[in-house]
Amino acid sequence: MKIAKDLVAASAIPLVLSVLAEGDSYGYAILQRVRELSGGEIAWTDGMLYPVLHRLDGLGYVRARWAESDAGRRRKYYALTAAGRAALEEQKAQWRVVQGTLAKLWGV
Amino acid sequence: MATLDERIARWRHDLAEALGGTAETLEELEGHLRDDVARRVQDGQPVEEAFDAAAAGLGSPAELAAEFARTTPATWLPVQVALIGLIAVAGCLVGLLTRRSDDPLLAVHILAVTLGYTTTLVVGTLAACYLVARLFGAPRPAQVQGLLRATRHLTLAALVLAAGGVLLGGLWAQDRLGRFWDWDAKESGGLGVVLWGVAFSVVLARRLLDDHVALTLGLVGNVVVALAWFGPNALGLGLHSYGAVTAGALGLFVLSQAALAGLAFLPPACLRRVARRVG
Repeated sequence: MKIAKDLVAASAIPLVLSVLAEGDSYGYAILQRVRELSGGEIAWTDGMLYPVLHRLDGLGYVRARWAESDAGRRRKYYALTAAGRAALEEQKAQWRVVQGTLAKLWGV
Repeated sequence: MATLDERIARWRHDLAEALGGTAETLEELEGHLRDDVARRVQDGQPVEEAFDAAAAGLGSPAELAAEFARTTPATWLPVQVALIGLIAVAGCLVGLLTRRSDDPLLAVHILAVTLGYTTTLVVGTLAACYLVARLFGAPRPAQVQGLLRATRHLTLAALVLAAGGVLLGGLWAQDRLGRFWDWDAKESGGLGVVLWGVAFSVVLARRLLDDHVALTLGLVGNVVVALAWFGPNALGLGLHSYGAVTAGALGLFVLSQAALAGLAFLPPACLRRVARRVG
């Protein structure tokens, strides 16, 4: 099943914030985590993630820092901020309303 | 055959050109590419194939630049120049019209219409700049997004000013001539500019067209304003038939806009090599 482009775009921010709520992470690992959790159904183009991360950084929802990876290269890690946690709670509430409404309509 | 590092260096160079050289972003994206290549090689793919698949997964430099441009539009020099010019024109007009304190309603009508028309022409001029610069490989995708944003805002401002100006003109005519609207050539032209502003604003706000087509459409505003502003003068029609623009000059202007629109069909950056050779 291919998830529609609009839905992929709309879910990008809550997904990224939710992955970062599990702990600090970096772009490639965030993508892998989303693929793993969705069983490969949510297939982001890899390049789509970084503008989202930078936007979240600009909004103050995440804080970026450079650190050395196991391979010895510099890697940019992202951490959720307090504002990011609040935004995630807001996103959760909104998605629950959507999910609950659809569940009632579909009788699930 | 090029090594992995050589291919990554070439990829990074292309990306730097498209993105405009943000070193940290380049480093972050290169890190992603290397992680993906390493995982694919670990899964048994040959290095060459792993690189091709990882680079394709990340998107071409142009696609990546467009993704970034959506979140961080950049300002293009002609947009800055146009905005400064527009502010200067507005300042001069206000200065000139404050001297006409004998008829404030007429003065505000003239100010609003002139600024509305001028702003529409600025949008058209930016479209022309874009079409010419595009042949030389400019502007960058992020700047195109900035240009689109400026076009959207300026078109909306032009619409509000032109609509307000036309309305004030009607009120002035009601007061002085005893009628609000008479389908005079210049009144009809003003209505045309307003209708164009509505249509173009909807196209831009709802993203109904591809970015390239939408920007090119800005030229239509030049033609609509030229006909509205100078058409009655050139043809000697109606109440406002004054000025020195001839029908021939107006026709030449319309043809020049059609020729500029024709540039939209040429491939982007097709003159970059020519410019480099000349330079």
